[in-house]
Amino acid sequence: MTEQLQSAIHQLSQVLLGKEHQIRLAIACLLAKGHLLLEDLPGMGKTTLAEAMARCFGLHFHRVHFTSDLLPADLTGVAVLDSVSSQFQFQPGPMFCEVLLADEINRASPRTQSALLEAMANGRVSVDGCSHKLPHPFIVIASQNGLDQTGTSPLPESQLDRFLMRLSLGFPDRQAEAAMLSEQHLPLEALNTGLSAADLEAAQLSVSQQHTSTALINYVLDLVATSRLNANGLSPRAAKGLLKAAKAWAFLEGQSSVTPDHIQAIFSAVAEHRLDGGHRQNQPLSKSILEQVDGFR
Amino acid sequence: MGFAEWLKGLQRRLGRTTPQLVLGHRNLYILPSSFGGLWLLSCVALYLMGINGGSNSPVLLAFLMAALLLLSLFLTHFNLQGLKLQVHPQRLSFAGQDQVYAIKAISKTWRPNIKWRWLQPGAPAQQRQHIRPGQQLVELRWHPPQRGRHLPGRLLIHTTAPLGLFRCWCYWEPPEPIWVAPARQQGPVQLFVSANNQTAKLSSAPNKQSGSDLFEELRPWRSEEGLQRIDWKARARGRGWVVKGFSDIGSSELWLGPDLQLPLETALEHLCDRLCQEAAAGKAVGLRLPDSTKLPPASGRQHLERCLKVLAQLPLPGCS
Amino acid sequence: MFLAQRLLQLTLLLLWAELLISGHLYVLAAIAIPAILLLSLQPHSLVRSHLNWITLVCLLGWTITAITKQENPTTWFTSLANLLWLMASLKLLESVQKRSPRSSALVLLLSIGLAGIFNQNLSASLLQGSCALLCIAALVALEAGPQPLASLLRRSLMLFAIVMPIVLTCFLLLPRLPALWSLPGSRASRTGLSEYLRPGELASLVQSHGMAARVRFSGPPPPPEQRYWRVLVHRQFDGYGWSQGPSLPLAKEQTIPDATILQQWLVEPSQLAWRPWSGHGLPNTTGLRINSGGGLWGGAPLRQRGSYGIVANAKGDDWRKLPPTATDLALPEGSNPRLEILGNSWRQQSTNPVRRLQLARNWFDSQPFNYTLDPGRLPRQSPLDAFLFDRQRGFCEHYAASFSALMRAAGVPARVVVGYQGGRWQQPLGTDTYLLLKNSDAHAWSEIWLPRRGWVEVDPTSWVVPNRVRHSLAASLNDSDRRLLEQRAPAWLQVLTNQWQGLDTRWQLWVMQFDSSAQERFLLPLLHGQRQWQGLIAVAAIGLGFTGAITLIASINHRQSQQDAARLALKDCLIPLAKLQIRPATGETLQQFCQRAAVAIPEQEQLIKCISLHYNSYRFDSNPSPTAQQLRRLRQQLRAIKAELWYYVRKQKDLA
Repeated sequence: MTEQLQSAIHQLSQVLLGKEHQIRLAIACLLAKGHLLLEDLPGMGKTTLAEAMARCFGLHFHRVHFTSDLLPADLTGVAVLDSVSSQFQFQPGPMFCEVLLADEINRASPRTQSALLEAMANGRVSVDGCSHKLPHPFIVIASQNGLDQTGTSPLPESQLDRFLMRLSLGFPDRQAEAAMLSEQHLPLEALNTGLSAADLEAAQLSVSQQHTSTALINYVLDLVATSRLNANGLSPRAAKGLLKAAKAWAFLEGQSSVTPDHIQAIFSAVAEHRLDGGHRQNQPLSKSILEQVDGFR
Repeated sequence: MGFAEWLKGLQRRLGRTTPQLVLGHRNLYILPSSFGGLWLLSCVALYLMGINGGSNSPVLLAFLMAALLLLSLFLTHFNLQGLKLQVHPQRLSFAGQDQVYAIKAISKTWRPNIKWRWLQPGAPAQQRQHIRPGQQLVELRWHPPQRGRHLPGRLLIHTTAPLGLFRCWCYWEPPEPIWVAPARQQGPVQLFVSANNQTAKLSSAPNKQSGSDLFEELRPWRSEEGLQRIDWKARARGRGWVVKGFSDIGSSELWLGPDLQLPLETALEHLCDRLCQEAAAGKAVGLRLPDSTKLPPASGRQHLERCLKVLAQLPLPGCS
Repeated sequence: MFLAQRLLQLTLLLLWAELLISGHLYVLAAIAIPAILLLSLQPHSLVRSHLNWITLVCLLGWTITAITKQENPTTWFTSLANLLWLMASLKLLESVQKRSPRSSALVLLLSIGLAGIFNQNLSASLLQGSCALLCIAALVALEAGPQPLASLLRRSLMLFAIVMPIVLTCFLLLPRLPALWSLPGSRASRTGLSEYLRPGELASLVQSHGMAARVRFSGPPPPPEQRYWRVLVHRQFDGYGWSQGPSLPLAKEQTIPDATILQQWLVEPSQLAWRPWSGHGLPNTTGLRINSGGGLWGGAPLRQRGSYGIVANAKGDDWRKLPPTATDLALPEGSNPRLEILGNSWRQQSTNPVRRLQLARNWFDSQPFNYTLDPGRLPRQSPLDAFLFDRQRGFCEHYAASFSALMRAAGVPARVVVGYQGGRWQQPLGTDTYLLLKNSDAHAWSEIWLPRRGWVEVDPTSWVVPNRVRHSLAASLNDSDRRLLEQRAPAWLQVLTNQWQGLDTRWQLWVMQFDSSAQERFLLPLLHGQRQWQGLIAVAAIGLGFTGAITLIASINHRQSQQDAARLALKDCLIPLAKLQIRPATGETLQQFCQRAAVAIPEQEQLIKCISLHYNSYRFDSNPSPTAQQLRRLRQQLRAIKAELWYYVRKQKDLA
């Protein structure tokens, strides 16, 4: 399984050149059953990554471009009156898919955002008093543009907490950009990893069964306690997320035990957006926390 | 200079006001407690009992107790020595509420039974806490006097662990201020709604923009609008193909101010409560005060704190 | 708070039990203390409001008891001690009500010290020590906050262990003040030798199994026939019993500094001012003097266990050579007429005292004397006649008394010596051997004056029953008498008792009897006579003790803030790397550190990577938690790696 995932990551990094670390993190996020937030300037490949992730596991995906006039019903779907039978029939919206690519999520109104996030948390939507179950797996890969963009409603801190990871891709290095310009990258459509949704589910199960020792849990507790000494502490959900993501990372590395190294590898992706409350700092807060807590366990 | 002033001056010099205090030889004081004095007397009594009674067991016990006394001089000092105290950003509080003043304590060792007490009259009772190795927040109860920006005053940190024979203490005046906003009380406030910085009373029409927040109108359906927005219930009642229109009040601004017909303090308390409510609802509000202080509308915790700090800092009635 | 109270209650309970067993508690205190203890178990408002009344009742009861007990002036101290113990329990009750057990712990400590005056044997001292430990634990519990009892006791024990060297240094080196006044201690033993020898008295004494004394010998013990330990010398005969008579002059105190100690005595409390000894040598303890009758005089009754040494005297024993006085020949005329007639007949047969002694022996051998513990009461009138010629059943004091009277009648100066004979040779494992003298070893014999030889011991009992001297009392008795002596304890318990008594002997001799003279004996050889250094050395040693204690505590604190065994093993393992200035940074994980170290020392890359491999697999692999065996393996692995790294580091240093 790990080999297959490795080869998938290899292929994905052919699509998105020079971004192997981010791809690994994104895959780990998927394996940990977490939702992913991609944040960067326009044109950095956010959407490509999101789509590649979905294609990688052959998942059924929808892409929704969020705008300010997007209504919750536009996502969930509505009950439509069937003129023949004169009965309401539920017409599912784009949310009914395995991977929802929410482009520019911060452009939608808070009402729409919260509808999406509620669905993310519960795995079901209710329309006109009827509850509809979302497919399984259901993963939201949201992208948002960098801040200080006019006409946006940034995700509130409480909503940010629901995303397991926040990644930003950053500019590619010169070599990667050169390869891209000379069209050496793999087109998205050519992606064929041979992995299926069932494979993903099996991998998710293995990840959740990874053993975590008390020493590791103590490390996570210390990190969380240290973060709470500052203004925005990490929530218990964040602590749980840290452990899940570290398990997934260890699984990707092909290791049976989770060590502080794995926690450190995913820490900034999992913790940073919860620590800075959506306002990026010049000095990563997560890094200073890692430096304060004894890594020897 | 009278003795009282001299004592006050000494106390001022004793209280240290640095943002970080490392307890050590330079700022720790240690003296036997009254129990320690009794203990010493008991040692002497036991020794006399032993030599006069011709038995060595009281003598041994006296030596044991004396050795413990001397050793606990060091142990008690160790219990505070090396403890690092740091100021920590304080949470904003409301007048009339019990407040905690948080201090960051950094210790390498386990320190049992450290007692903390504010040295102001009417301060809450002494608190005791066991300090774990590592960093932690020590939350001390603190009575805010009234709204405003306050320094917490002098803190007495002392301990008698492990045997209660010596008392080791030090003083610290944490320089981190604590903000006390007016108490929260429901009541009327003055509302302003403005569009394009044109202030008007709420009755004036807000600037509309199509959006999803407010239900605005029903209008006929055009085929390019998609099925989602059709009012299916209306359709079922046979009202034809209509669409619900929504709008945002995004660019319209909500400003709050104190109700000037009430006494200022009461008005501020109402305003304080309203600000908190609006912030909880996630709405953007601005603040407009009689002394022409203005805070532009915004949302979020930081904005709320800014507003409350402004309210806290307004001059108290009776003060110029 | 709760734990501290319980610990103090336990302390009081133990103290009460100890005092109850030793019999120093008044009936009032023996009942009141557990009652108050029971009251203190449940804080109750009724008790709180009536605390004053309870105290008043206790005080009243004590006053009445104390007044009724005052016929003996020495009991005032016992009364006061009872008052303190009673007050300690009341203080505990009050502290439980008021939730301030601290001062109660102090009062309990004082009570424990007071109990230490009354009871000094090893078991009592151990009990007192554990009481003190519990008190300290209670004080620690008050300050240390909630924690399990085991860790609390461990901490208190650690405190105890850390201060113990200091306490011992103080004990050994600090100069002792002389007693400012004398506190009457425990009651002298109720059983024991008495000043007046009535026929039949010893026979009842030997049925008590109380310990009388313990003797350690520097060499091998004397053979059983020579184990005569004299205490009292009776010179005055009133026709019925023997008493000491007019006091004899005491010899001057002599100190023989470098003499070897022949016997070290440890004597139980007694009502006599006389101490047992062999009659040879000189006492080396101040306050002990030999009188001209050969008694060892201690000045006052022995209220606590006492110890003294007997050193060899090369000049021989002076008292043996002192000629007899008229008292040694005095015989109340007509008190025992038949005895006088028999004695007179020997006087007429020979002028030689040795010949007269021989005649007496022959006479005793010819008569059918019976040695028994149950001789029956002798009549007031001519008791010795009745014994010698009618009943002929008696115990040692009958033989000694009548033999001495006979010799006086025969014109040979004679007296009766009372003391102990024999003793049980104890060889407990691991401690010194000693001779145990019990009350049942009490014996009486005679001493006669022979010209040129001085005072010579004669034991007429040995003529009648040779076994008494050679073996033991039990061996010389018939079955019915032996039953009176029998101890009702199985053999294994006997062994344990012997063992315990051996330890107790050591405790007594080394600790409880360590007074200023013992200190001098201990220190002078070490100081080579330079007394003035004692204070300096004491201060220096105590200072050293404190420095050690503080360093130890600091390092324990440091280690406790460090984590568990595996972590400490890892820390040890990384020491060689620290020598090469490769130290972990905070926040760095072990794997990152090892990679960094491997880059810095490429030669040892494999080895260094093994550290993180082994450690991490121990730490993070084991499910659910690592076993002790895994920990042992990890320690071995890390130790091996450390050794190799050390080797490498040394090689590098050598190259440099």
